[in-house]
Amino acid sequence: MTSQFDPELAKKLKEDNKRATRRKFLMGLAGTGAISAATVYGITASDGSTRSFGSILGSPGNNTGSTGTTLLGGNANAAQLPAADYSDRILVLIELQGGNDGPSTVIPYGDSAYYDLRPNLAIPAEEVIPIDDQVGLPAQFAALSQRRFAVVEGIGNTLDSLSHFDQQKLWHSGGGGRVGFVSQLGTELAEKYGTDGLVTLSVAGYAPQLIGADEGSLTLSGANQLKALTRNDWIYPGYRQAVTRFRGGPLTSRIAQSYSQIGSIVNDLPEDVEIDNESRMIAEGRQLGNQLWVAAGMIEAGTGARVIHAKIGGFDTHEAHVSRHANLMTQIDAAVDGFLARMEAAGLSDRVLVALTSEFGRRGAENGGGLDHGNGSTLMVFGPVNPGRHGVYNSLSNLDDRGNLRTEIPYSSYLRTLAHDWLGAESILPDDESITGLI
Amino acid sequence: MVERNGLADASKLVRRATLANDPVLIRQIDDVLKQDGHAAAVDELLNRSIDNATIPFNWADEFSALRNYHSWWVDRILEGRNPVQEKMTLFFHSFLTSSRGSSGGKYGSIAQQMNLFRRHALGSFSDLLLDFVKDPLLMRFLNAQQNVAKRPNENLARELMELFTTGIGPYNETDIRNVALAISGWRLDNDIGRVYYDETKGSSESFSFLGETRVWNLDSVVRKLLDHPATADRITQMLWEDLVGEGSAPAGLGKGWHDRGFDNLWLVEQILKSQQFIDSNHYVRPRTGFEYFMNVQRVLGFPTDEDYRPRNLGHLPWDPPNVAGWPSGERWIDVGSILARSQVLQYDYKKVEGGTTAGAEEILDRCAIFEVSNDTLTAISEANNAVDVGDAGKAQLRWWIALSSPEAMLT
Repeated sequence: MTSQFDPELAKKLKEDNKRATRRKFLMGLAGTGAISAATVYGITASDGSTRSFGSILGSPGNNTGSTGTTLLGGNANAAQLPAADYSDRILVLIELQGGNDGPSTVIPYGDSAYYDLRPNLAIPAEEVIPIDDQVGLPAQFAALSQRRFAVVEGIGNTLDSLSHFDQQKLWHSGGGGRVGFVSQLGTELAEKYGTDGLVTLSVAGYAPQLIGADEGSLTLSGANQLKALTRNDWIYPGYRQAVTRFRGGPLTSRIAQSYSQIGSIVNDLPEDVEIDNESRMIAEGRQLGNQLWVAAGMIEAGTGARVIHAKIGGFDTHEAHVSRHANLMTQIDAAVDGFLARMEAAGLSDRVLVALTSEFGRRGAENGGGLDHGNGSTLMVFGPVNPGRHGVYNSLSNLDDRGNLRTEIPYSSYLRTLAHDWLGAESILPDDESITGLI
Repeated sequence: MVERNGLADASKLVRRATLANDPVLIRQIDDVLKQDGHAAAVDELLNRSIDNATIPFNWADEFSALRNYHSWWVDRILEGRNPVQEKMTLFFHSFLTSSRGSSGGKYGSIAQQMNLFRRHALGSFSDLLLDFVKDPLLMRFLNAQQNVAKRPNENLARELMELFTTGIGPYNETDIRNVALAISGWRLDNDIGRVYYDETKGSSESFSFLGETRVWNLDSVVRKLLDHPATADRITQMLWEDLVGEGSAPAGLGKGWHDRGFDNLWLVEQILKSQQFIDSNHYVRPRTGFEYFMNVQRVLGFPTDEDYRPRNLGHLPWDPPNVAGWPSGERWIDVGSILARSQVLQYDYKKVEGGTTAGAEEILDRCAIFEVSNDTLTAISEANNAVDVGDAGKAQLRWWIALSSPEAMLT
């Protein structure tokens, strides 16, 4: 489904694009209806029937069948093919910090072990939005379940340690070294597409993934930061000029470089980042909604960021798991749905992929009102993916001898898929195989 | 690099060893330095009585009290009765973390923990740690009060080893499970902040831990970890990197600290008097968010109960980004943090003494920059060339440049 990546063509398209301003180009694209017509992606099940996965079979409680041929909810004809040009694609990574529980996100309501192991925490089948007769989504994903998505099952870490920081370091460093995964990715994309501007962006305010980035990375912790930068009057130009003059050793160079990157980003910033506090995206999406609002603005303004990182904390649910996780799912539903709606309105649905990440999962059995750190988990991807279930179903009946869900697919493969199959990056995590068929 | 007013060495000492970076203190230290040498100057800085004052609080204080606690501490830092005590408070808090979000509605618990750190900052690290693991805010932060023998919760056991003592290496996942059991049974009545041990919720099984088999409990586990050489070495190295900025602590320094009952004052003294400290370059590591903030706070004089600035810089004490606290190093210099630091300089400079009139020399003095590069000097003087800007604007621009310079960002 993805075309062979042609660097020369990509470069030419990139140069073509630069002739118009980015914003005009994007608006033009939306206006010409260049977005393709619907295609249904089907998967042949073992019984030979063709199922249209990624479609939601009605409301919670409808777990009667899995051979429905309902297309994706909402506007079925707006199912997007991914934009052919890798250089136009954007990856949004939402970090679920603390270790997200896979079975609470893609709920194995068809497995009695789920209820045996978690008598207090398991979500009743009637509250699940079914994907098929085996798994479903939490009721809080009312909006997202109507959009195109893929679930990726059996993702886990291959490290022995269940420390937050070991796991975070792994994904932050993309498999090794001191440079974060997002930074490595950004560096490669900057080289590939020859951009001087912004490549990687975190709207989460603190992004270790961006440590060590050479070029074009920005971390924002709110919409207000943008406003202050857009002034071109009074002492602001003199200031921006002065601070790019510092010379010295590596740290000083880093400082000067940071200032100069800020300067070059200023011109591309969105003019208006007024946040609508009444919108569901903000009111229920809360911090994540705020972050994705800024991200949407940065994308709409064509600032060039290819990899965007956002974060929602609170997943380390050693206690009060049921209520806390439900709240977090509501936040994600409101924030991500709102963001996808913005991308749709901007005509960018075919080029923005939203992927959830988390440093690890949680243990199979409950522990009081909570769950200890675990291993295998399930993640989700929204946007122009092959919808449905991917990866390997790892069952609560098949825990390892520490009571953890197994790792069927290493986390680094998931990251490789996003970097390589979606963004066309070659050099990052080269020893890992992509999860075929996801993109 | 240009030295100004002969104060370069004294300013390095004060800048590294204190938070307020006060030019008045720099001159005081410089007098001793010039007269009696470096070791005497360090003594002048360290030989002060411990500040025993505590943040006033009520256990059931509400969220609004947090700004008062913050304000109390910032004022105390600016006052400078025992500047190194405040610095070491921040140092220990950088890896012995708890979050204001874990108070369970009793915000006095934060003041209580702040007081705990200030009390032990120049005392003994072992005393600090033994008290810390029974601190109510820490217990809630790491779910210790839910750790009971029937359902052990591993959070505190894991972080006790990974973050507070040895670091990853000497223990494995089995140790974490065993230790979690051994330290189970500690309870917290959060209504009144009472911490107590309930043996009916605890466990007294014997197991082997770090080479010793016995029935373990919270105190014995902590002492065993303190005894492991990795603990003293790891924390010594962290403090070394903080104060010296580069290189490795000498072999044996950690052991010396351990053998003296983890005497913090002794450890600071050894590091500050070391030849490596004397030889270290001026600007070798980034200032952390709070270090940057405190210097600007002292210079510009913001209202001290405004805590949004250090929060925007990613370094509001007792509001860590995650369980590990705050890392050090390059992480503090990137586009986002530089941007955030520029934001902090946006202020009404009419409220600042000389804010709209000061020349370059006065500005550099007030910012305590006594070793400065030619590029920074040039950048500041070029403020005079700003187009369509009056004299007041040019002065403000000079302040902005000085506080954005590498000399302000690094230490």
